[in-house]
Amino acid sequence: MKFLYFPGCSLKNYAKKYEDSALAVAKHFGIELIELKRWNCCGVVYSLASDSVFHCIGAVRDLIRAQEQVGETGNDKLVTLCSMCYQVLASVNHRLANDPSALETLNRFMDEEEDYLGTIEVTHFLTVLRDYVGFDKIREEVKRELADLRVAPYYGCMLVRPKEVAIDDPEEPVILEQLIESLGAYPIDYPFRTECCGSYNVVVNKEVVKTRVLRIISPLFRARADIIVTVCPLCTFNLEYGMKLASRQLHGKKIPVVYFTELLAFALGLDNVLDKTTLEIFKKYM
Amino acid sequence: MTVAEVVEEEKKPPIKMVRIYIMGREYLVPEGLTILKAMEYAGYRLVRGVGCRAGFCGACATVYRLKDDYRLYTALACQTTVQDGMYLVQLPFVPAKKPRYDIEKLKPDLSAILKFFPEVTRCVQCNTCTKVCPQEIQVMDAIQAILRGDIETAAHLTFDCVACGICSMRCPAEIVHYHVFQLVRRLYGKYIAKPSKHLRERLKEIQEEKFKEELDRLVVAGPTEWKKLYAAREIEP
Repeated sequence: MKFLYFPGCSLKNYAKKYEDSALAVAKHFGIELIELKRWNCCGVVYSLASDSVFHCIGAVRDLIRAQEQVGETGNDKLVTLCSMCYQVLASVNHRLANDPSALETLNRFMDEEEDYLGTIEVTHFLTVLRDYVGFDKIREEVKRELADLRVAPYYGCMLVRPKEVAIDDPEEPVILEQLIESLGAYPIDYPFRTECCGSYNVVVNKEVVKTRVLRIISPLFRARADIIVTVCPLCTFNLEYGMKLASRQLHGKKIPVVYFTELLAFALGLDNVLDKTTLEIFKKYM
Repeated sequence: MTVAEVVEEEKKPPIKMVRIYIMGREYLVPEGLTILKAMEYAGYRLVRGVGCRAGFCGACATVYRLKDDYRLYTALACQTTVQDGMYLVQLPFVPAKKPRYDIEKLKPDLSAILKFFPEVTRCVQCNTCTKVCPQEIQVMDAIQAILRGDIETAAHLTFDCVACGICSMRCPAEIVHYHVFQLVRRLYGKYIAKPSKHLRERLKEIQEEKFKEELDRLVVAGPTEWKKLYAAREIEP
């Protein structure tokens, strides 16, 4: 099965291990993720200004690139990994589907591109795993015994909000828990798994991130979480950075953070795509 | 001129003139002139803003409009012929900050670019830069490649840049693309591109004075011999 794939800037940069592990997992299940030949930044933040379409331009260009390549896969899906990219692309797509005049303005402005027809469906790799591989199939392929591994799934906000583009129930998502269970590990239930990590405040106000992260991870020590599993490069960065900022409050304690694709790759025995730090985290389950 | 020549000259159709406007004033200039030559024909003396007159140096970047057309067109004035109803300006210069840096102290990644050109992160992907580039470079794609740390792709995409600055004149994010791209290509050349084996060999040959005798001979050969050699020179197909 083939899908078009939009990596996003972070995955080519400091979140390279997210992409590496995801591509290896996809390949393992016979899924070919075809990276768009040309792509640009999604725009990072979906603009809520209803009287301006300017901040949709980056995302629409990417949707046009997908449209140009749609013949290669035989389906309209564009797969993302980064939550921010997913949310921006899906939100812009959703807005334009419901606002034909905005779409027309954008198409007229981008007269050097073919018109965007609104037919691309933005989806997330987690959804692809659930709908095109299936958790049963994943369960069959697991090579490692992970029953002792206690995993805290962290959704953040971008993947499950707003409900128009949410990949799962915005209040009570289960997709990560189902995945963790299918790997034989134990998903920890805790209250702050869909709370915001502080997002871009990390640039201007680090205190916000520190406070958010302390709140998010506070129940995880008593719940004896071994690792936190994330879906987003910015969440990952903020969780790790926030724990560093709050090391005094945490008495130096830390919980390792890995991408869900890294956990998957480890469970499937695809160790060669994991970096040293990640292998060190998983060492005792080898 | 002989009588026969005058008769022959008069048989030729008259030179067709086109109507252009420079800084709002109307001029009739012969068809087929470049913008540069048309301005000189109209009496402008171009000192700055004009260079090689062959499309390589990027000094004569300009903007113009056509009659009844909403677009603002861009061009190298030495490479574009005038059209009837063209509205021209005096050739503009694009002022831009040009930071000094020590290439030895930089790393070939996003951090090097952001240190000197933090404004690249303001790109909103309007693609105006690409639309106006007289060299048909994918300017926005290059900026986007830089933003994900892909110096190599950016260097390849901008290889044909003549630094005319039109992209920077039109960019709503006020990026100075051509200086950014120069840094990108320098980083690529210093840290990413494979060192050229041939260049090293040739430099060694020059240092060992392999071509000295040939050059010395050429210096004293004289114009007749030079012309002969020039006509017979090897040209790449």
